[in-house]
Amino acid sequence: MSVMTARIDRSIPFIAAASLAAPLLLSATALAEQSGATAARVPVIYPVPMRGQMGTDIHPSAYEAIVEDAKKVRPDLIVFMLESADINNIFYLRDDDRAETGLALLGEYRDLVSTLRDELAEFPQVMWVEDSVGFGSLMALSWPEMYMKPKARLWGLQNVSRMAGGWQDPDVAAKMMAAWTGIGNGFLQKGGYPIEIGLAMMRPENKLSATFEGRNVSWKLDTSGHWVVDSSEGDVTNFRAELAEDLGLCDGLADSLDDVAFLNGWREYELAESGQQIIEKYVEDWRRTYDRTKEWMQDAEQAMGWAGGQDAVRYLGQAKNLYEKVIGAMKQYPAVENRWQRDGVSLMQLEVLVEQLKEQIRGIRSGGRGGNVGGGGGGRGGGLGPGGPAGRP
Amino acid sequence: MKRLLPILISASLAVAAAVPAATFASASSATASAEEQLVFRSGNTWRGSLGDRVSVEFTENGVVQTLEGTLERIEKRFIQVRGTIAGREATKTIVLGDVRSMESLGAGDAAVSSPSPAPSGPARKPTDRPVAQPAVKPVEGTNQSAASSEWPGVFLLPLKGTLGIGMRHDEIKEIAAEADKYGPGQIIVLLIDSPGGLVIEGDKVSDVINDVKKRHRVVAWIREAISGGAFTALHCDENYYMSFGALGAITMFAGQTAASGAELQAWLERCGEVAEAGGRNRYVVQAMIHAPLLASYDRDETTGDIKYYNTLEGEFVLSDAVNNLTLNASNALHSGYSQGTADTEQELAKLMQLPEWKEAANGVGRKISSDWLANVEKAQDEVPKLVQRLNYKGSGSGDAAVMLGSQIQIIQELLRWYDRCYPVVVYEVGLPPDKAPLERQLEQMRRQLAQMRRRN
Repeated sequence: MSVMTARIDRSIPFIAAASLAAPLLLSATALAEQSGATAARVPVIYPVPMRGQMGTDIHPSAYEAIVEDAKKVRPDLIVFMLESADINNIFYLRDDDRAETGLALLGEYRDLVSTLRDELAEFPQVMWVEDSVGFGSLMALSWPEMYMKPKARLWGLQNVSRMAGGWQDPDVAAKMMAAWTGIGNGFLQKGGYPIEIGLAMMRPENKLSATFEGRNVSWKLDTSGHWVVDSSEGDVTNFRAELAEDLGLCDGLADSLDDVAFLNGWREYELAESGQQIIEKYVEDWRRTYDRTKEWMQDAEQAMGWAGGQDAVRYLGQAKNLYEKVIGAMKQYPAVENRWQRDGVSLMQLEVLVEQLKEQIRGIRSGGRGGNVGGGGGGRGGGLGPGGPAGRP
Repeated sequence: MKRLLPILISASLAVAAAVPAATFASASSATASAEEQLVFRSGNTWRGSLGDRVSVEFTENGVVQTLEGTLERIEKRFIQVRGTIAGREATKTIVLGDVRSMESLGAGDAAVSSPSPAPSGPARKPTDRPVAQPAVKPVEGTNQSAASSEWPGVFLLPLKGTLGIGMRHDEIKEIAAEADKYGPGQIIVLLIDSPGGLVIEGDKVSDVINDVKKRHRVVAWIREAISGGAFTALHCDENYYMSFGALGAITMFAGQTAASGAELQAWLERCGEVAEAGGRNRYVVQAMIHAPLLASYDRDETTGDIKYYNTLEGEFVLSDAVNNLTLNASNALHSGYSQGTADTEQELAKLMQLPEWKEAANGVGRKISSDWLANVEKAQDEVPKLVQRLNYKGSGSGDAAVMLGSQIQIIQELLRWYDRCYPVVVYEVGLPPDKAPLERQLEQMRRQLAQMRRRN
């Protein structure tokens, strides 16, 4: 889409932008007017990135600061920019990093949506999907006003029904499926989308068709509607941007923030970038910290291996200190903890391991009478510890 | 008799209505024995007799209107009021689900006053009968008038986590005791966010809610009510959903296997009874238990009447022969299983027709909840570590007596946790349900330690 928009710098004085504003889609704009975007000034857009891995890059802890900041900025429109895809577009390569796939933390995602939608309810908000494959699509569908990049995908909600897998008893399996898809559909309901879309997107056995009644679309989980969206037997329904737009699921295609502004009736807007900076810094910080923890874990494992003979105390002490640093990082960034948890290392395991190491060190210092705790042999100890997974991610 | 919505109850049950004790007392003294009482959508009440002159505020096609006239008929689903409509005298049938409030203007000899239905809700006229309603300042967008400043507010109790661990009957009992201090007729809102849990706890929750319902209005506000969470919510006469809300999947299972045979039948029966006691149809709840059971319904958009089927013959299918059922906010509302959708306390207050959102006793319910949940969280962190420490604590000393002493301390601490947070100790960490063996072990270790010290 090509439109005439201009992003203006905050320092540039306002020049009668309102008269140029094209009243295309009025929903967010109308709300914006209520919140003070009048002809007296240029509307302020506050973009908030949601980029990267669900559960780490996109985590409630990162967005607490956004709530505070947005309340200070008081924007006319908040644009959540979602780019979270578990798989890329080059399917045959299968080169996607599995460590970067979204984490199944629906409760945390629900808290995140609640925080943003409810605590910032006084400001108009839209979701702009740059690309979404996986749990990110739940986020996308949690906002009633959604725009998509022309090549964006709204895919991957089979991940929700997969959470219900592994049960043999048909009744228990049905229960788990109903529970998880019900919880998943809560996101769509929050965004005002019908349950049928969620059921088609989450459950492979469902089909989907749409029937147009005037401006309304009614959805069916079969092929009896006017427009058969998905007739496949074993695949969930996925939406590419154009299809989503045609079916009224998204409110328009937008290549850039300018397009989003234009679709909201603004040719000019002021960009408040502080939210973007907060999130970018958070992502950079936790990822740098996580990389360090990987090194610390490897080093700790190595130190444990060397902890024998005369140098046992020194190396065990080193290992203990390194594990303590990992614990500190996990406490500082839940994303770091989530990432290690995914690899089978929990905060509690590490805390217990540190206590064991302390005992072992005390034992050696008191004359070699103690030690060998936790099932480890040869003075290494730490049988409960994370020796295995260190360095794996 | 309890109905789905609105609830029509006899005057003798009026104590269960959502009214402050003080205003209720004056209302009851002003009424005769042949009175009727109506409790509208979520609690606004009217009490009086057929033939009374009334002012009814109701919604029609999304517009709030007011009609004054003579109350001619009260039925399960509607009332009829004779008044001046569009300039001439006529009888208006008003579906009870559409009524926002009703006030008596005087006992009556069929006197009718104008005006005819007017768009958007005008302020109410003063009433000569005390109307039982909590009132301070109105919630924005409502037309509640002030009636009493003595209304203590809503007793909100957040119930979060696994049924039997984070979410328990004990806290419900506690909030009820707080509500009891203000007399009967208080409003208790259970904010449910639970993935389900233990059936034995469900039984206790059932007993407690059924008891509390006898004297208070108990409302469920649903964020996540899965399995045991749903079982709990369905006990409440009113269910409101958050947009995120999900309720269902009540299948009982142990290990990997669902209840079957007689056990399944008993559970279906039990949950059916719970549904009906809460004013709901049992087919829908039973479809949440056993996948092959069907549920569908027809809905009369004019009257709001809903007819449920345990087949697929209804226009709206809730559950087919393959799937278990979980309701979300929209289909729960459409099927009559929800009384409304509210994401904030203020929205809930509007739906419940409260004049404002006000929490009783400085939010005592939130404190009860957060205290318990903090305790659970601490136990979840501490107890597994204590169990681990039994293996190594004190080993660094190289002294058997020191190690034994450490173990004694750990066991003492574990025993204290039995008292402080039994559900985590037993159901989550898996220590024995009875602490007696641990106490015996402690005694044995103490004797052992004493012997060691004597030897040394």
